[in-house]
Amino acid sequence: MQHNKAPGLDRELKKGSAELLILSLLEDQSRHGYDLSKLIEARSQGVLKFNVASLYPLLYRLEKRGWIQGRWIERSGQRRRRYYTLTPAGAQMLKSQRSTWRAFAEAISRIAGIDHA
Amino acid sequence: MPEPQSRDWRDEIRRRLIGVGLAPEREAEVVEELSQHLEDRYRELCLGGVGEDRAIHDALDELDESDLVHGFASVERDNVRDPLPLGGGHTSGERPGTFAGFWQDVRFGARLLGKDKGVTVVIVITLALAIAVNAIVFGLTDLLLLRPLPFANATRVAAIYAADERSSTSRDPLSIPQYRDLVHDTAVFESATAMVGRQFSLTGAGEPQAIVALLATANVFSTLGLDVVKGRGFLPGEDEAGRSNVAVLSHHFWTGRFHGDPDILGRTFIVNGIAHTIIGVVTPAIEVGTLSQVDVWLPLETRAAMSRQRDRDLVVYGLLKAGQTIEAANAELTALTSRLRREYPVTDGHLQIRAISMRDSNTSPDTPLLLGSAGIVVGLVLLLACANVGTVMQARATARQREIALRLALGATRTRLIRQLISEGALLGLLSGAVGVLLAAAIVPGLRLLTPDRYVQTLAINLNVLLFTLALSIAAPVLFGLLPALHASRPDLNGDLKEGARIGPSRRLHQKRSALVVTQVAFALTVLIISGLVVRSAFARQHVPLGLASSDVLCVRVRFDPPKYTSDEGRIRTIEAVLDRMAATPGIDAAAAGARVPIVDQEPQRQFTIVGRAAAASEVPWAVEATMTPGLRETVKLSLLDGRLFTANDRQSTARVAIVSREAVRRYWPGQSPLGQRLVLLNGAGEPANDAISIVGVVDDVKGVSLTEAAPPRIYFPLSQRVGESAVFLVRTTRDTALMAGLMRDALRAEDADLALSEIRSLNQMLDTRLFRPFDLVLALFAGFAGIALLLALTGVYGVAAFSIGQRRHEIGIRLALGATSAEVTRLVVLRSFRPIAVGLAIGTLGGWALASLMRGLLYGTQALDPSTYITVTGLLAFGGLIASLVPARRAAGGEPVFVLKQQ
Repeated sequence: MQHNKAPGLDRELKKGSAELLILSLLEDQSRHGYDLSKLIEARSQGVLKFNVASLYPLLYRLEKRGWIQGRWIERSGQRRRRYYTLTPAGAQMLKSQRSTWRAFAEAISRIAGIDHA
Repeated sequence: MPEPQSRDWRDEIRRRLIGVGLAPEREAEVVEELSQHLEDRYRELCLGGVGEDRAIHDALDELDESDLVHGFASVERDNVRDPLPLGGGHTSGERPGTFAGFWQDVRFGARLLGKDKGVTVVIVITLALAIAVNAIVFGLTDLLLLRPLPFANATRVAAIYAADERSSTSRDPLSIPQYRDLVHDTAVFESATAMVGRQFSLTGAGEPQAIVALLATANVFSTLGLDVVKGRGFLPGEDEAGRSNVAVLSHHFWTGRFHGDPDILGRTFIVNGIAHTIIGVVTPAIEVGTLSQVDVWLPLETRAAMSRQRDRDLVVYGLLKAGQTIEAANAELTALTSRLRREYPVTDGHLQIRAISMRDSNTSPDTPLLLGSAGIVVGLVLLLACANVGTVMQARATARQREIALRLALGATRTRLIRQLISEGALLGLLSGAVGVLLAAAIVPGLRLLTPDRYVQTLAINLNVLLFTLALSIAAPVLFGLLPALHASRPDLNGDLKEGARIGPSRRLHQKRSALVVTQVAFALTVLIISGLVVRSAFARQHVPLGLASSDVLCVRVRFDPPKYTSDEGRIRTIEAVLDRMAATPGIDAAAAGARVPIVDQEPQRQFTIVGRAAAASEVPWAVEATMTPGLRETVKLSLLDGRLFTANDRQSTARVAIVSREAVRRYWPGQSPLGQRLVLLNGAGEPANDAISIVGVVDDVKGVSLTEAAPPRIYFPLSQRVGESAVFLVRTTRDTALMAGLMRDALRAEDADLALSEIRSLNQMLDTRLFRPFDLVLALFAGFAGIALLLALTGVYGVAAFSIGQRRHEIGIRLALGATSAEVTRLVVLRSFRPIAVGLAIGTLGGWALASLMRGLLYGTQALDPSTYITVTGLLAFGGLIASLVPARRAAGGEPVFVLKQQ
């Protein structure tokens, strides 16, 4: 996700959405950091992009909060990689963030609706 | 396509992680994980056809060092917390308006402040500076004007002075007969006390010493409400002859000379050859102003002194009866004055006895005006700081407009948003207040060094100052926070949500910002003008020619008491022998003796008649009396204008001679030479006191105790013809003070080992104490105010200019794209920024002039419309303002149009 220098909630919102994206991508299976960054870029068709310097601190923060868990896994024929898995607390948070974002998206479309009226 | 070569990224990652400060094990893990990511990215780029170098560059590009440091720092700080409140802020289930809501606002505010650390620091420093100077001025005001004086009866005690029409002095002392008439004739006072400071000798308790004794009527303790920390004060009747051999020590003398001896009561010592019993020790609280010089309190015999000459040297205080006022006292004193004028036209014909409050008597008449000006100036500095902070807050509010619009759209109430912005401001205010107090506490000891005044030495950050600072800390955010808050909470929702939709700031906003610049510049210029004028005045006062060279002069007071010294001849012999010894001492350039230290000591006024000239009773000539030895001219560089100085041939046995000052000639011998003229001194009753005295010389003027008033007329007598029991020795030396003081003491002791000597001090030190010359303090304060105001104004103008120009980047980009040159755009932008500065300068000049006119009484050696001050400070501010708007303008206009447009 490209960083905007705007302070306050603006940045906070983006950070919030980044958390939501990561948690969502880990909902079904464990993934490593590079995988996550590629998925976000691909699924957003290049609109959202994480660089290394922002992705990993975010992962560590989510891990510190106990929402995801990272584990080094060695698969045959591959290098050792760190895979992240959603924890039950993370699943709970994902659920809560989803509903918040739904409300937010609805509000935005309400405003957009007024805008076009 | 060949498989790209595997790379080792670890060193590069480690280097960029240095600023993060991870533990070694953790770092190893992070390095491994990140290097795998970079490797994956690199390989992908290479496989996608990007050149190897380019691929390395692009991969590393994702590893921005500052993002890394910032990102990891936020991991360290992160604690699990609720997401920031959106919209109505009901995420914690609290209702708006509850304390929980307030607490959440505060937490939210603290988090925002923590995020913009740079901005927070700038705001806190700005406000803290302003709060610190306000705290200091308040501290001084509290000390000098508000705090009750350390006497129990301070509010009911009036100081009673004589105003002398001839010398236009308003605080002359009274004579003993005048004091007795006052006690007898007035009914408003419960009691009245009279006191006078004298230089006495103390023997019989260690080394003989010259001490400052305060002679006071026995009722001094009850009249003023003074406390003793040991023993008792004087009893009624102890100021009568035969019962007056009692002494009360000042606290500093008890602790200094007697090392706080707990068994001091009942001990005796010899004062001027007479044994006195110590009966008490006065509280240290009263060591204020001249009282702090007093070593010993002795009873003043007013009855026995009746027959003596009517010297006017008594300071009188009256305790008003309950319900009586200063006005009532003055009505009675006016009646008393009328009677005295009628009965004693020669001695009292020019006097008006009047009462003023103890508070007024303790501060110079300039003090309230000076503190008032300082108060207004620091008030303006605070407003200026608030305007600056307001600009920053406004900029932040604008930057947060989208956030706020979003939250309003999601249902947040306007009150809630204002509350949140205000709580953010309140946090800033309290933080700044705390830093401001620390700053003031750090500055105060420095200020105390700038004045020898003992009372000012008690200046400290006390509870009053803390409460005042707290009030400011709460008030300031309202000033700087409310405006942006009101503005920001009423945004244009559609417009603000469409980022970049606007080309430039709205007209309304532009006007508001211009008004801010006008205010800042106007306030700053007012502060600069006032500070400039005060600094000029203080500087002029500091350099008022005293009429004598006070630098490099040391003074010692000496008593010549019976039984050893019973005749004038004996005293003169010793004084001359000491002077010879001093003159022969290496390092002493000149030495002289006199009865008193010029200017420092209360010098008596004498009335006289000029032989052959009749004068009406109301126009009897008068002059300040001084005595000197021939060496005084070299010692204090007194200029001889006409005739001769005293010589060793002017003796008791030869004709009486005198030297007069230029002012005396101007008054009494205008247009003619006084040389050869003769005069006769008058005693207190207006009768001739001695034989005619011939005038042999004219010297230049020496100031009286008031630096701002003209020098009084003076008459000098040779010490050899008019010696008393005490004398002062003055010595000119450029050598080390302590060393020379030792040599002076040696010269005196070699002549007579039992002489009672005072502490040896420099004349400048004594003058500072006597004249209350807090000029260094005033200079430092106002120069500080001016510096802060200038700094705040310039940063303020810069801030607003940078912000406005930043908002108009789009317009600037379009202009550049359409072919305007960078210089043209710079000119346009600077001109536009400078317009409000010019308006501010005009308003500030008027403000400064208006304020300066109010404080005209304070100005000395300059005037309210002093052109050089106005031109200097206006030029300074205009130039600074120009630079402050030029810098951001050049930066904006210097870029490529596409780049400028892209940034929008």
